[in-house]
Amino acid sequence: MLESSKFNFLVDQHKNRIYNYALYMLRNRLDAEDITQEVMIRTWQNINKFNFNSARAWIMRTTHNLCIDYLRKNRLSFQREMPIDNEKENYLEDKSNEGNPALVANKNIIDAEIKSAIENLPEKYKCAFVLYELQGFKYKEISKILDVPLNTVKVNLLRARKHLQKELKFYANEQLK
Amino acid sequence: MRTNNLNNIKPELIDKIISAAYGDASFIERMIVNWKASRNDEVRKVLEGYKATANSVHSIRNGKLPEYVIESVRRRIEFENESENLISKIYFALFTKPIYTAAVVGIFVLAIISMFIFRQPAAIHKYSKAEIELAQRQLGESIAIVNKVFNKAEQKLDKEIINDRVSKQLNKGLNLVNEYLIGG
Repeated sequence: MLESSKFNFLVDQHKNRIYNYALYMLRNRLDAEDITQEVMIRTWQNINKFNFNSARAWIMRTTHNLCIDYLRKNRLSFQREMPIDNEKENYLEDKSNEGNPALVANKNIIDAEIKSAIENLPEKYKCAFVLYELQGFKYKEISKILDVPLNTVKVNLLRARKHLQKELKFYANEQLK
Repeated sequence: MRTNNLNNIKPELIDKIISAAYGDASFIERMIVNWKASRNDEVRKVLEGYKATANSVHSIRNGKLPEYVIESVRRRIEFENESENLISKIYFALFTKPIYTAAVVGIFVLAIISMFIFRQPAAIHKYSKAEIELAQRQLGESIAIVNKVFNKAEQKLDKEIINDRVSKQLNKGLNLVNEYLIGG
């Protein structure tokens, strides 16, 4: 009984976080869904081995490890070709620019470009960047999740930002105009 | 001194600009970067460029996990959501938020403290003089019985066991050896 409540709570808290991280890492919806399912099943299997405080880091570490394993296994084999396609959903969901389709369209184009630029970051930079900027983890937590020293996290994050800036220079200049 | 080829800005300053733009620089670093940006056009351009990217990055909306994925997981682990009982609900209501946990711990501590404060002292039984005397007499009698048993055992050991069973047999043995040696 307690296990199921704990599991429900953890799933509600972390499902989107796991899914989005896998989506950025694998660049494919179906693969991200598979990874999310696998993480949840492992969470269920290990539900009594961690407490609430350590669950967040444990879950993200499992997600990261599964993504890395998946990428290694599938690097040479056939990859499912189905890019992330959130934009249609976002277009429908976006209420902030409801009165101005041009603004919505522009925002969606920029979002898509940024997502694409993040997906194309080198793997080690991408992990740190996604966890810090998009998932709101702290340096220390990222260091635990990725199993790398704290300074490596900081350096990789800085390099990711520089890399991204180069890729998005055009859009950044557009926004400034 | 090393400088950035494109902007003639020192790499250390670039790092600070990036941190300031993404909002994780310290207050002093931000002040320094802003001050330098106000005096130097190139610094200002770089800062604004990074700020624009940072804003775009931070405004990205995360995708939502389709519900069928959760349903599929639940089916796979044969999870029965309806079986949640009242105790587990209360437990999670109490322990999932630190404030509730603190309140519960506080109540426990209060209960323990009040138990110590208000507890009744245990009644101590006082023995009468006659009871004490009786106990002393019984103790004396017990010791006398034990003493008697020990004395009896000592006498038996001295007279019967050592004298008859040990000394006599030993002497017999020694005599036999003597005879054998003298005879040989």
